[in-house]
Amino acid sequence: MDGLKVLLIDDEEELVTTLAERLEWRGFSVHWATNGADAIQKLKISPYEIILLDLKMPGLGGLDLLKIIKRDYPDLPVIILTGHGSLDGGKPEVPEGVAAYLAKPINLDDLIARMKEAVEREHHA
Amino acid sequence: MPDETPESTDLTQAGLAFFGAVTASVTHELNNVISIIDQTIGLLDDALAVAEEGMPVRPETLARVSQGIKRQTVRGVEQIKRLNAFAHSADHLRCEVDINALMSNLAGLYQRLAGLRKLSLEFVPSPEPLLITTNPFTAQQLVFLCLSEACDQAEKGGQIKVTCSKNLAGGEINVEIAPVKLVLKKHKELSERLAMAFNETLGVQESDSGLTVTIQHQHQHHHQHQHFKHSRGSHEYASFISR
Repeated sequence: MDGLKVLLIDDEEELVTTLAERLEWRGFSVHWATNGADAIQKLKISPYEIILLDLKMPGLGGLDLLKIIKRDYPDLPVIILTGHGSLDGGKPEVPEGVAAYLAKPINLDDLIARMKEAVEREHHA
Repeated sequence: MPDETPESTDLTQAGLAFFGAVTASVTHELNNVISIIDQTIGLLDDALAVAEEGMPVRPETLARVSQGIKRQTVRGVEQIKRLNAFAHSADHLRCEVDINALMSNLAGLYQRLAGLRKLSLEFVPSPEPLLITTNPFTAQQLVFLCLSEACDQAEKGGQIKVTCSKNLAGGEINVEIAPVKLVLKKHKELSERLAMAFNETLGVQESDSGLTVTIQHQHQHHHQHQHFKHSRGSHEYASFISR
């Protein structure tokens, strides 16, 4: 999993830069974006192997961005990171096409384990 | 306790929904604050782990961790104070309220919700003191409904402007989204029912500039009041004064 290319998308810049740095120390290659439009541009330029996506963002929100990603990059695994206890206020439901769903604050070891699982699942699909 | 009618149940539910919306927004922001602090401390842990293998922790890393945690602590404390003031606005059905402080706090709480719609929010207090005896929770609820309409109707990248002013009967809070003329759509019925429930001492009108929440002085009974003030540093953050 060395050098696994990650795109991290969250409107909280301080969270994104800190998480990116910690992932890079662990051997991942991380780009980040703080809004949907920037994320879409980055996806066009660079190939990624996994996306970490926050649900609640200004403008193009996480769910809308997820639809675009699943439409244009159907084989790219996406892990949702969210501050919500659940998506619809009830029992947590993982949207279709999402590899995993993690509630903030994120446990980094847990995140890395889910990332590896998601990428291996995609490779074997 | 009077029996609840379907009408009063609906208004109670609407009040709870308002309280829930504000609480959900603030707790979401607080969760982000804690997440950032958590990852920042994780960064320090990572640096310490590397230090155990011989590479010392750089002063720049320590400074960054310290400053990051301080920044988020200030942000978190501000949100908690705002939410606490909002929660206490439900303490009394009727009390004398500093409308400028009340609405400044609400505007602060609404910033994140406006930001999610890519809108900015400007608050303009009245130049003179605006102390009115009213139901502070419902007064905020009506302004919140107007802000919700503003978010739905404003142009992308636009600005919501909230202005307080005094009038002969009490005061008013104007919500506008120039150049669009803001009207009551989604919340028209609820705002009318709230106005009726308060004998029109609270209400929302459409005007040329936007939506105006009017607050008339309510007849003040003799009852126990409490002085409630909170501040941040040397600034008067918000004060609800009841005599």
